[in-house]
Amino acid sequence: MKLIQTDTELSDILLRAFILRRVELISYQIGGVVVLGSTYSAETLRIREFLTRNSYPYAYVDLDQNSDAQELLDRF
Amino acid sequence: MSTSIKIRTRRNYSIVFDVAVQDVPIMICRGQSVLRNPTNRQIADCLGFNEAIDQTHLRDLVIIGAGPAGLAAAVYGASEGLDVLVVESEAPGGQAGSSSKIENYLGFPTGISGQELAGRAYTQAQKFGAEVMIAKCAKTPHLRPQTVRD
Repeated sequence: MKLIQTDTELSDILLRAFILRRVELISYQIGGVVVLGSTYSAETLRIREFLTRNSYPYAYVDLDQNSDAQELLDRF
Repeated sequence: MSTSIKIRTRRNYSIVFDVAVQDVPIMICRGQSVLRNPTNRQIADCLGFNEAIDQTHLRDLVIIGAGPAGLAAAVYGASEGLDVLVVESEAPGGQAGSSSKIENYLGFPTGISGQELAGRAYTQAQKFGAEVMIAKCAKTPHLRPQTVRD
């Protein structure tokens, strides 16, 4: 932390690397979090928005489109 | 009334667990715990958003709200060497963070998305050493006026 605050050149390289790494993780949805929900659910939107706005990478499974979840959907 | 769901994830491992209709949405956290319709606070706790922050530490400056103004205050405070903590109830960026395009923010003549602006300000604040607590609410602070002596 001290290094980032004192050495401008090094701080630019490190910061850039961290930002690009985060962008990569988000685009490949690598983060160890899976959200299962429905496009029609407000709570799903809230959770996805919370993760997105905190720049946390997650994978999303839409239960409306997942064939394994068909049985569950039949009960709606 | 519940049913088993089998999910194959990108990295090709499958998870089987029971869910009921009222459980949706479900969040699987690091392949270990299954949260059923978690609150933002539960998500933050599960993912360890605030884990690195020492809550017993006495600060020079505590800012409530990580909107553009709060993050700006954090950047200036931390860059001047103050020990800064920002408390945010949802996510960095505040209301501006959900804006699709902000065209009247100083320094961005072609506009910037709220999420991008918030992300930049958040990173900048952290770069200077400010700490941001996510999904934590502040209670109404009872502040007594302090007299400053020479």
